[in-house]
Amino acid sequence: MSRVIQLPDTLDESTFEELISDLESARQGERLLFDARHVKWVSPYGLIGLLAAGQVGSDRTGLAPAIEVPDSSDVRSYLDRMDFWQNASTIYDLGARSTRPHGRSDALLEITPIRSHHDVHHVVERVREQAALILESRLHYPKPAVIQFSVMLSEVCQNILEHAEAVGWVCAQTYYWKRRLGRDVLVLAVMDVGLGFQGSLAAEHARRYGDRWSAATALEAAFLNGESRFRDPGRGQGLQAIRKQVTKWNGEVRIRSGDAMIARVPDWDDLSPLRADLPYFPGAQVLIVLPARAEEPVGT
Amino acid sequence: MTTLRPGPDPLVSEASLFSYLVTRPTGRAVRMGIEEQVASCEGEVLTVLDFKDVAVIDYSCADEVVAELAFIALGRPARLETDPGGPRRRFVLIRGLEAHHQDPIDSALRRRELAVAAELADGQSVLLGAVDESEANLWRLVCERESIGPQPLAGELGMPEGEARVRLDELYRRRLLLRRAGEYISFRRVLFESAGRRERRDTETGPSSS
Repeated sequence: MSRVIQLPDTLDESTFEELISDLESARQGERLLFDARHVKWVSPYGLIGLLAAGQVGSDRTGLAPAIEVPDSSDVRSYLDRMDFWQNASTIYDLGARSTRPHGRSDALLEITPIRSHHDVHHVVERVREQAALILESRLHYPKPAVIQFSVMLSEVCQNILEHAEAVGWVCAQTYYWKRRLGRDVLVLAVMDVGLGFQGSLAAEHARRYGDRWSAATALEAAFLNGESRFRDPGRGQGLQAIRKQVTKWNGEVRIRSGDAMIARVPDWDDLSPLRADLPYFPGAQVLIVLPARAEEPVGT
Repeated sequence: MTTLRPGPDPLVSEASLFSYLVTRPTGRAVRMGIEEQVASCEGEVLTVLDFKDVAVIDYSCADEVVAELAFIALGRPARLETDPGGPRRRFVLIRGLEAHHQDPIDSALRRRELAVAAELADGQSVLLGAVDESEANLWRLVCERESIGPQPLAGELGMPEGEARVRLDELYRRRLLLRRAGEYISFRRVLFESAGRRERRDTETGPSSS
């Protein structure tokens, strides 16, 4: 038996919930077909979200899902450039589709799997030059921002290794957000489909929270209070540091895990800072948006 | 890379750290290399972490390298004061510190309520981590004088000698100063003395490679 999962025409953080709610009823032995024919636009979150959804679909059904390629040549070309097919080849049944890596694109970071700390080193060292260029010339951040961005990238990728106990992916791109902000933004997405915050922190913290223990309280504990799965007081700094840095840059960071999402919401967005009513999805999905600095009003 | 400068009072172990100090396993490997270097050293050892070539340090690595070394230094000496070899004590100094290194290191130390002495790239001495204003002021004064005893300090600050001794002892207990023959000594002074000893040795015997 097979089932078609119709992908929305825009694949990003706002439509991710649609995608995964369709996955909730997937059953063992059911063959899933992700129909991407009508996709017209994909963000980094959408790209690796499609990998994560495919992995969860595969885990739930026991069969590698199939995928229909987008009709749009722009989207197809973007998927090629971002090495989507190469990363999808271990998740989806791609038939005879070529999965050769594309090489460097104009993106800050093509889809990169995170399996070990060597991958984190590779990512941090690789993006440095281009990140410097983007942060300085497009986002108008001061020179040291590239170091702070590298630290943030390192910590958010390590979060996968520390908590997921599963493979994860990272991807970053800059855009001009015409409607939402009227400015350039750097979008960084990091995802895994592993333990998630509730599972990762449970052994150390669940008893203390009692009946209140949930994905939402686990996210609050980690994101707001710097709590970690380890007793060591040196642990748990990474997310705190990310939140602090993103706040300095008036950016947004949101972390989705289980059926909850927590966010640092900037003044330019109206996202809810905490939600606990989402469809369940394993692991953790992180989105960081760094906007270009607003120009100072003339005369100030 | 670590090198050991000859002692005896104290030994100076220098570790030149490299470009990308990111991830916990990297930090752990770096720290273990530094610990190994001084593991068998008798008496007191001042470990100097040179950050001149460190392009990036993240919070995890700052915790694994700096905060862990500071935590280990605070531990009880492996030998008693009365042992002929003296107690094994460890001290940590950071050199070549740039502004972008400070936040991860400071944050890692504060979470563990630790402090470490550092020299900025311009030579200025600072304390990082959990220190209050009066501790920092006293420490800066000792750094300016290079070494001082409780009696002259008490005279200078207009406080009882006992109080001056307690406050200096607290900085020593936190491994932010050395103590020798009733004097409290800044790490910079120790480095000058160590460099002088090495120079004298090289003059007498010719330069040796380590």
